[in-house]
Amino acid sequence: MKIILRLFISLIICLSLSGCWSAKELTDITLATALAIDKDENNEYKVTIQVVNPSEVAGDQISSRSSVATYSATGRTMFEAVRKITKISPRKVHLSHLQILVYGEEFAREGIGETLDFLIRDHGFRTDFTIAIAKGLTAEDLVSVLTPLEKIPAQKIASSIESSQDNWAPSKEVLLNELIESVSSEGKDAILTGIYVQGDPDEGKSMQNVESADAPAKVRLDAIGVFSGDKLLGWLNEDQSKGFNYITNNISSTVGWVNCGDGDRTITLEVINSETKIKGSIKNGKPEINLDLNIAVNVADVECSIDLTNTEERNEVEKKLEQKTVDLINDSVSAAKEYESDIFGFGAAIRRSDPQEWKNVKDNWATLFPETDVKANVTVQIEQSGMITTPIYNDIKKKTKEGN
Amino acid sequence: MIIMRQKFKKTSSTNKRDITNISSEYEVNLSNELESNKKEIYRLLGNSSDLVTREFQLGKIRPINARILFLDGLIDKEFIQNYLLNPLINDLRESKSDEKVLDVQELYQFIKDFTITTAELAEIKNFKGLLEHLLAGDTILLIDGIAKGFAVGARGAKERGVEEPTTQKVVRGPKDSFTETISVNIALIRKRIKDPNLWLESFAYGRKTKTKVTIAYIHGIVNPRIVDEVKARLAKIDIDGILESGYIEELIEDETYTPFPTMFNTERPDAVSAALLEGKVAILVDGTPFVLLVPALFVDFFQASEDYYQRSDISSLIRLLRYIAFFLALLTPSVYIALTTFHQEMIPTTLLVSLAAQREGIPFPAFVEALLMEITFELLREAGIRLPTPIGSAISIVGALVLGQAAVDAGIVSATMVIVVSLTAISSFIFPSYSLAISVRMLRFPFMVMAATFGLFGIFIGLIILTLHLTSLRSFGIPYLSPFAPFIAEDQRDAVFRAPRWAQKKRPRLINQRNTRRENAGQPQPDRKG
Amino acid sequence: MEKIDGKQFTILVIMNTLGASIIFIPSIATGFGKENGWLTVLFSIAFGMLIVSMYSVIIKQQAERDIFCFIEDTFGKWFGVIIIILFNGYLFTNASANLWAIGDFMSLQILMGTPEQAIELIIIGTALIAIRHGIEVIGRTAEVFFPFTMLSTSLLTLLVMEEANWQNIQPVFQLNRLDTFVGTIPIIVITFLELFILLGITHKVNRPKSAQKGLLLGGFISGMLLLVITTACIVVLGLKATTHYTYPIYALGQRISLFNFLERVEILVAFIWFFTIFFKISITFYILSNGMSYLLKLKNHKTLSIPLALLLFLGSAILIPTTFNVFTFIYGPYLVFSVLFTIILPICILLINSVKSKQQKGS
Repeated sequence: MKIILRLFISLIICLSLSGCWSAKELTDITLATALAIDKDENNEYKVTIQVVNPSEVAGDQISSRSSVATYSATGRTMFEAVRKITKISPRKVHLSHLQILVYGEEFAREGIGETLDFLIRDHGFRTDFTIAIAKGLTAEDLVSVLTPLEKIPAQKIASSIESSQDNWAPSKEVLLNELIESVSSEGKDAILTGIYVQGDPDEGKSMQNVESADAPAKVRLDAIGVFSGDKLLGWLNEDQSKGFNYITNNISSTVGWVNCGDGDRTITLEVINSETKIKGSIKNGKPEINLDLNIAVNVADVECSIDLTNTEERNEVEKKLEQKTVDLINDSVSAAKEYESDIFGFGAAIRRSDPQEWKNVKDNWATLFPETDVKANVTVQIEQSGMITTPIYNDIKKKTKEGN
Repeated sequence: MIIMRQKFKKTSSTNKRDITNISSEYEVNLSNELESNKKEIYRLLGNSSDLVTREFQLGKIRPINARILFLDGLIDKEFIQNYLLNPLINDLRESKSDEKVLDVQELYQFIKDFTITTAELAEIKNFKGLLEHLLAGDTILLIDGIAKGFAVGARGAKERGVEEPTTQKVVRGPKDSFTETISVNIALIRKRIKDPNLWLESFAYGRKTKTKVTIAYIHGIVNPRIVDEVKARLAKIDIDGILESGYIEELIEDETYTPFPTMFNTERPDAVSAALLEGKVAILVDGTPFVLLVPALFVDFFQASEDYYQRSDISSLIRLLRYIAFFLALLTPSVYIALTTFHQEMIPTTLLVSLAAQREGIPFPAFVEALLMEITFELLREAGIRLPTPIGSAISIVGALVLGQAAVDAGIVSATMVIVVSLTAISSFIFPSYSLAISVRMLRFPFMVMAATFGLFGIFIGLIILTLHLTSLRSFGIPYLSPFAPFIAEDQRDAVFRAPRWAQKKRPRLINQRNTRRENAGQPQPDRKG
Repeated sequence: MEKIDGKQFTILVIMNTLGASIIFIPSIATGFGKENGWLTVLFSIAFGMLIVSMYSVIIKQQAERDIFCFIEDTFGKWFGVIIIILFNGYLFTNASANLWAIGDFMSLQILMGTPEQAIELIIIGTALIAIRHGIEVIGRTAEVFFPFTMLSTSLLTLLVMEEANWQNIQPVFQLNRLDTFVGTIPIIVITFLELFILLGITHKVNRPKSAQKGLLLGGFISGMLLLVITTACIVVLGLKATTHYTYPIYALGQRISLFNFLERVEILVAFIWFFTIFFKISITFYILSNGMSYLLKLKNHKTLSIPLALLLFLGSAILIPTTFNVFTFIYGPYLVFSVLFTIILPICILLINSVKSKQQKGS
């Protein structure tokens, strides 16, 4: 036992003296928060990373230096380009805290497939970053824009995609696994949320952008970009994107308004829960999709006179919202049909519910998809009316009339 | 190891020879002549200055010379004056029996039967016995013309009274603690367990110190094999002196090369009594308030006696806290090193950014930084313990506030490091047992090295080795890590959690195999009829 | 004579079954069965339990004999020795392959940049300490780590369930029916067949009955755990990702999220596997050292432990020099060895012993 112990202790000492192969002191690494992928004029990968300057973000004395920096490098392959950045960056780039991965629009239109292998293979990445597309500009420009409120712009983008998905619903937080799943599996096409810069991106790169209250360049979220295979085809508008999220059961909360009575006054409803069931089948060689939506809403804002205690009037509001949602869905589906891209996973739905038929159609699904017959059946249920039951609008109206 | 053992044996055998020579000298019987006896005693003690003697005469008509001898400071002088000298000198002189002239033998018997009124009295015939009694604090009475003497027990050495325990304090519970006197300590236990089956066996160890060592156990509860094992191991002790129970502990423990204590020590009589009731054996050593308890298991070191006086839910939570503290004290610095130098991906982004901001400009790697702070902390702690109390607290203030703050301001260590070290420190103060706290302090450093070399992997390897070591340990035959490994469901009621008294129906299974039932009443039920 | 109890044996069975498989099974299962991957695992459990019951019959026949002694008694002196030599060879390949697997995983996922050999050396060193302490200590240590392993496994599956998409396992058993069954073969080979090795420690279990029970119970529990984990991988990660990842359970760990607070703990999840495979390596190593000392008629298995440890370390480097060789290794010598020793050998043992007992009855 003693000999073993001695042997082992000396072994440990030897290893620890020569060891620490993989140790990286915090002062020797730099954290990348955003990774942007573009193609340069030689058709090589151009990779840009946004790294954090920790002492500007959390240090004791904050100077006026920028809280992030960007480095870019080009290479024939992704890995080469990423490695080349170490040549420029003073410290080793640490990718595990990546918040967001952005593809330039131009790049995405040519296809993002080749980059995925590296992203999933390299152990430096954790797979929890959001993936998005820089709409109308290069990804490099996008990640170079500084944001006033958040010190780390990438964090701002990632969190705004998440909150937009949760509260407004025209965008979707897509993680790597999901992207790979939809790019590579049958019966579903990929989507990614678009991000654009309002104002001049070049101005956004200077410190001025964070110093003024109304920043000259602002990062804004756009709607959803539609892919076929690994290539970006085009964009949905905001309503279509919302429709997309309704279909794919990806709504946690959103807002919908309908006209109230006959006039142009409105009542606004907050969607608090939406459940979608997709059922697919092949009928007479034509795919048919049945959507079943159950939407629960709260009354958020009434700007007309309506008696919400009256069941009939309530039903009418519900009907209107149901119709509106069906319109959203149809709009969204027809946009997707135009792109011939099954972003909703209708094919996968057919595969799930009618696997034998799917075998026959899966090879020419791309041509069959635009012929899909989508039937949406929406049920809206008003659940709560907020802090008041009778609209305050009625009293205001009365008083205004009396005053007259 | 084997070589060392052999060496040890050799030296001990030579010492044995020495001691037999001397003791054969002691075996000499007392002589008839008082003066020669006195001279011999002075010679044997090397004319030591604390040897006090007083010569006096017995009887009036035909006085006989007598002499008492004692070591200064070890006896109760007033007692000797009142109950030994007074009867011998005055009463004998006035006593009627004196009218008849007694010969020396008769006088000796008379003194023994009627004159000396003390409780403890022993006859001595040779110098060996005489010296034993004299050195133990008895007073020797020698009478001219007779080759025997008396040893009168009137010990009165200055000793500390029973005070509050200093190392194991409680909020609720008895506040007495053991003292340096073994008889007092035994009495403190006897006061609590009034059972004829509380058996004590005494031995004297230490060739020079002749320290009294007593083992105590409750016959009928204790596993007799453990008692035999304790006795057998004690019998092997051959050392010149025993000054504290730590000597005994090191001489009889199962495994010396372990950072973990395999014997429990306490200065609380209630803790000892509770252990005896569980079927453990207590080893009391004269001259120290710390009593050893065997067998001691890993869980014992997480249990304070107060756990049993507070409500069970409170003590269960506090125990849980102690186990958490064990891991905190052991692993906090190493986990910090592992996370910041190997596994940055495990730290949330915001926290990592702020850690990185703090580390900017720190000249040392995290490992060196941690080592530096930990060693500083150990220095402070040691300084605090050894210094007199007022200065000790000053040291901790200087250490904690000034040094920590200054080090951070100077950019030598990061603020997080100070937090990490403080957390470690606080956690290591939580253990009820100081001996486990020391082992944790020690083990922290190898873990830090492992963390600096292999990150979390190193820490987990360290944990495996630690567990392998712990499971291989035994304390007097009982697996050290029981009741966790081997897992004993019944004993879980008093391990990490403490079940209510009425639910702890049995004594620990492995320690106690015969008389296991300890509680019979079951859960108390209020009388609902009334 | 050191002994382990039935509970400790059950734990060692679970650790051994999960050891090699917990990290590979999800990809293999989905690779064959696609969305029916969880069914593949379910079928494997059914078939696997049959094989395990066969082993349990052998335990009964073994009757507190050492497996090596038992083999010699069954096959006779000369043939028995040859089988024992080959069996030791199998144990050696098994232990070094597992050592390689954990070393490779650690250097790839946890300690990027640290040479595999350093990690393997540390692990085999720790296993060396373990086997020199003996089976009792290994059993108890497993008992200590078992709750942590189970706790992290259940946390791993529970905390990712929020992201589960149950559509991923639909349609249930409609497509790929044949592949779903074919997939059970590699799963059984990796998971249940290797339990035969554990027959080397059954004589150390204090009651032979509890060894039989432990083998069946342990095999079943670990099968269920594999089923749960495979299902979790499919519903959370999706089919493609589960199939693509070499270590899907590690990717699953990346998805753990509790209140946006308990996140980024995949490394802790990785240590589930580390603990299980560590005990697997230790047990195989222990039986190997016992087997070698049986062959050489040594009294103490510790005598050979140090050279064997070094050989295992070398073996892991020589047998599988790179990740890509692992496939040539698994489908080559390892598969032959595996089938030979975990199916053919037990069947032979059963046959010979039944013939023998009939002869005895006849005479």
